[in-house]
Amino acid sequence: MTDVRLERPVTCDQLRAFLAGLDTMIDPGKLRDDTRFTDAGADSLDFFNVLTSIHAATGVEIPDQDVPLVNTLAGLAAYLTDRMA
Amino acid sequence: MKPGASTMLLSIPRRNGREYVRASDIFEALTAIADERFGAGGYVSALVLRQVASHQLAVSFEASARGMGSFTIRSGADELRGALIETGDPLSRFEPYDDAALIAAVRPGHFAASFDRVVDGQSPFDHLLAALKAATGDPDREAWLCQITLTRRFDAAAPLAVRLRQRALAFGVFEILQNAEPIGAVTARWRQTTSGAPE
Repeated sequence: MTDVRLERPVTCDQLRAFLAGLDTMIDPGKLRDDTRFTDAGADSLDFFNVLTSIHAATGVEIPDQDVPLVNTLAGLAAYLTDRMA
Repeated sequence: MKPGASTMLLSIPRRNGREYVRASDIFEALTAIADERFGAGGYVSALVLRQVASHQLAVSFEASARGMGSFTIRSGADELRGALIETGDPLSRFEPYDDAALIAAVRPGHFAASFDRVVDGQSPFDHLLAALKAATGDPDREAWLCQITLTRRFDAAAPLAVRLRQRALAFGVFEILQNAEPIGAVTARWRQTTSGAPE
């Protein structure tokens, strides 16, 4: 579990710090702003845990049909910035 | 992979009719390590299984270690994190297992399941697996336990129940309850039905 707060506007660096607190297979050295999480080592369980942790931290629930929009740091940052209160 | 000096082998049996290592056996072996490291107050607070294993498993407490899974054992504020590593060696010890009594005793609901009583001779984790199977029942897909977190030692003192809390992608998170009190959560992944699917 991470204790990093996410605040609008959500940035890629905020998300990097947030993800660093989670137990995932993501290689931080491979995770650039436009790198897909799976290309940085994340498996499907990691991605699910990222989505549920984001939901718990921000209240933003990401439906399955929006998953292609949030599979990079940049995409996820933009999505959360649009939807967070 | 052969275990090195900083790794230790888990004592896990091979079970009848299964070509994979049971999550319940992994959990019991890690609980034994928690008992050894922390005494009576120790317990497994987290277990992640990313892949099915079919060989002997080892654990490593090195920070850089990566494997087919990971775990945390704790006692109060003290915790130890480790990795589960699949070796190339076959499981050599055989122990029979029959979950018929558990399957008969579990009461399925809508994405939920519960026991009215503790089934003698079955571990708490085996109760959880049976409840999860009943709660995730789907004729075309089977659920695989991939992650569990617990807030206290998992014991068989009270019947347990599971109920769906969240579902996304191919995963579902179920609350684990004993005496109607939440004691943790378990994540299951749904897969298309194949023979010999893991539990």
